[in-house]
Amino acid sequence: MDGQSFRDRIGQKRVNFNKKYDGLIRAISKVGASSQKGEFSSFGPIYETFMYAFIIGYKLGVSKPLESGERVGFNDFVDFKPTPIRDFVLMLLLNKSEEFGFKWIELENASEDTINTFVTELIRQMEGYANAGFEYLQNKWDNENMKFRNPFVFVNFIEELS
Amino acid sequence: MAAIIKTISFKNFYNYYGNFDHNTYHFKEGINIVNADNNMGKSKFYNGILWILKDTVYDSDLKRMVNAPSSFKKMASGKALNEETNFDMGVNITFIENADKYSVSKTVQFAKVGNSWRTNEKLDILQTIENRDIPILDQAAKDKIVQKIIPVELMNYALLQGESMEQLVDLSSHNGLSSTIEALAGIKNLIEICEVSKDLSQRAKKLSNDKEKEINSTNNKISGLIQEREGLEQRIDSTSKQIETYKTELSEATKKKDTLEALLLNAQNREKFRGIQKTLQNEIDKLKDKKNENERNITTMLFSENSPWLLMGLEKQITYFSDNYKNLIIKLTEQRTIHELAEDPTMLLLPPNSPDKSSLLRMLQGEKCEICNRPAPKNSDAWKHMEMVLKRPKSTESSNKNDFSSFYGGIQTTVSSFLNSIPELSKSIERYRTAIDNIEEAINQKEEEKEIAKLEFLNAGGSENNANTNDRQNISDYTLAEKTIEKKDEDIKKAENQIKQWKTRLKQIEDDLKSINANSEIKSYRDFKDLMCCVELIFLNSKERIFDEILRSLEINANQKYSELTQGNLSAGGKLNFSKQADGTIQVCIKNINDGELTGLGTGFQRMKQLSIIMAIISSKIGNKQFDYPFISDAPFSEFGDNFINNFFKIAPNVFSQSIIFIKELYDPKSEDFLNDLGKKILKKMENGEIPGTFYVNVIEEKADTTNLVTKNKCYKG
Repeated sequence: MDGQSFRDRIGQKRVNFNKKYDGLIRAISKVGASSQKGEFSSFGPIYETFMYAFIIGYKLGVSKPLESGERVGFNDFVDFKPTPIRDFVLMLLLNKSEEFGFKWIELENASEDTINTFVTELIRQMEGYANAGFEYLQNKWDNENMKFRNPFVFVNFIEELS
Repeated sequence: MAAIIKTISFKNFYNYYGNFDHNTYHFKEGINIVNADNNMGKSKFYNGILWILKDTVYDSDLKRMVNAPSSFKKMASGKALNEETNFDMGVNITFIENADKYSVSKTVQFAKVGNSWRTNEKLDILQTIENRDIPILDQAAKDKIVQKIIPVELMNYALLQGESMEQLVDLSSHNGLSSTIEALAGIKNLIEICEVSKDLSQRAKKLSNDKEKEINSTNNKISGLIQEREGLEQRIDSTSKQIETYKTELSEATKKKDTLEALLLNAQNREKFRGIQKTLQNEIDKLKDKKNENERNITTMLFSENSPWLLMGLEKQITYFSDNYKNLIIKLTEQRTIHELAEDPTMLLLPPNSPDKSSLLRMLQGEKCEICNRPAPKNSDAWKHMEMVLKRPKSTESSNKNDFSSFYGGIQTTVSSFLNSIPELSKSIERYRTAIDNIEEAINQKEEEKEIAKLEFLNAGGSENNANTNDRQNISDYTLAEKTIEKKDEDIKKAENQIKQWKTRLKQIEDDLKSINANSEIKSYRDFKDLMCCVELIFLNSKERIFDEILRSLEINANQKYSELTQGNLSAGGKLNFSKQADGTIQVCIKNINDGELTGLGTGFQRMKQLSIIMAIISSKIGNKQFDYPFISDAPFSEFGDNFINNFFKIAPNVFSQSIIFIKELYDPKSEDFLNDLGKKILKKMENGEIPGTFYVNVIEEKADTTNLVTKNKCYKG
């Protein structure tokens, strides 16, 4: 398998978030009928909110992979924009691949099944970090809601964790 | 009989929250200044005095005087209304008159019943005699004591409100003129004698006419003349009454025209400040749009392709990835070599810096090893070794199942572009924050400018709802008033000419009757009638002469004060000219040195004109002495420049024994002591004793909305 096929295999994977954060995600993303949220800062499409939550979870160093029954799919990974940030997310996950049991060098000689397992695990880890990030945001939303009226709220959270 | 106010205290009155002890101002002879910015209690202070003296207050919402009881809830402190269920609101004035000391308190008890308030007003007056406070209980006696502060007939001249100063001394109406002359000359008795003599003259005329008719009832010629005379007298009488009506209408139209003239002058200012407010609002809206756009873009900046704030602090991850990638390449190379050796055991591992293909070709052609610098003749072992190295088999296939190096390489290329931008993200965020803060600051600045423009607009008579239809109505009313004046002038002239003709005919009739009818009995009636007419004329002429003299002296005196008040001013203020109108009233205008009317002077000059006349009236009334009552004025200088204010402080102590002035022109909110340069200068003069009196500054210690404002005072010179 060459590099492009590998990239395609990852890109075609459906990405999920935890359905218990659906309300939060809709509150801080410009989706559907609730796209006008004058009083709160908000993201654009859900994949932006997801990537933001992923970075929060990644900075926290916590991945909480989704259990069956918790998953709500929203986009294939290839749909995430902009591409350089999507690649950065991929890079962060690849940096952790040994932690979830895969060495790059081994992948070079791995079977089709192993590659599929790796790709599945990669996405599972990504969802896990985002899940931890959403948990963090939900906690802020519930307990420090006034902070969300500050237009710099999402920048402030990133700064706090940097 | 000089009355001097010693203290004025407030209890839960408008901004003045708390007991009398917390809100007391001590005053003395000379000038007492209460310096405060807008909304810090100047007009409320003035309202406290009005409540005590006139039982009225100025309602700034309705923009007119109202009876105090109808405004109790507005007069009460918003903070007290919010925080308490039972409290007293009140004003206390203590004053001395000669050796007697009095304390006058008006209080309203507030008690909350359900959602509404029950109020109960009371007036308490104490007179201190030999250190004993004696309560005054009789209502008439109480009223008399309140009037000792400022008598009713002098209130017009002793209580001034800047905005309504134009209407205070009204010489252009019969009532206004009469009350001024009366206040100055005390000629009430003369006016009464004029009325009595007129009545006597009428009665004598009727008596004489009746006798003449009785005696000559059979003489047709005489009867005819008498009948004609009666007809003429009736017509003269009714036309004279008609002229009085015309004069009243003329006076009202003139007054209306003057009022509208002032409004039209302000209309230009209103238009100017309306425009400034509009421009500033547009600028504010644009800045707010820009700020909103910048704020909306913050989440976009998190995902910016060039410098995504989202990646802050993650630069080490790029290096880590890069190292992993290099390691992978090394490992892959090793794997490949091992694989190649396994395929061809003769394959030598070339040491580092081994010659490349073109170097090997050159070495074979030159039959020399450039590595060890020894000859290698063709087909020698050394030459064959170089040939073997050149022709060694090239590995074209990977030894692994997969080749993801292009995948990692692609990611490496993409993320490397962030290596330089990530360390700069903090600065980029800070710049963005500063840009938004700057916009916010600019908005606040513009809001402040707009607020000032709004105040100027309101000062020029604009209203909160900003309707400019009033200005159009005023222009239309002004034109109508001008036409009415023209018409009434014409009517009066026409009627007076008619009366003149009728009087000429009357004189002829009288002469005819005298020559035809020389009866001695009639003669004595006629003589009595003539005598009464002469008496009426004498008193009428005396009254007119006194009027004229008083006005002439008032004109001289007012000009002297006007000149003192405008002294040192750069623009020439002209000279006050008093001219008698057809209806007997007086118009005061300002003339230039060539006796032409000086127009285009600002409201400051117009108010100065009024202030000069008031000071002249007071000076005329009291001769060379000082005015014996407190002179109290709210915002008299709102249209005056520094020079006018300085001049006023210089000459006021010569005219008024005590003046209490509420002023904002000495206030500077940015200064530590809340005084501007002029304020500091005047305070210094007071401290040096050049200006006698006291100096207070009102402050608001905690910012609050209008309903919760609490005013405190600082005494700079007690």
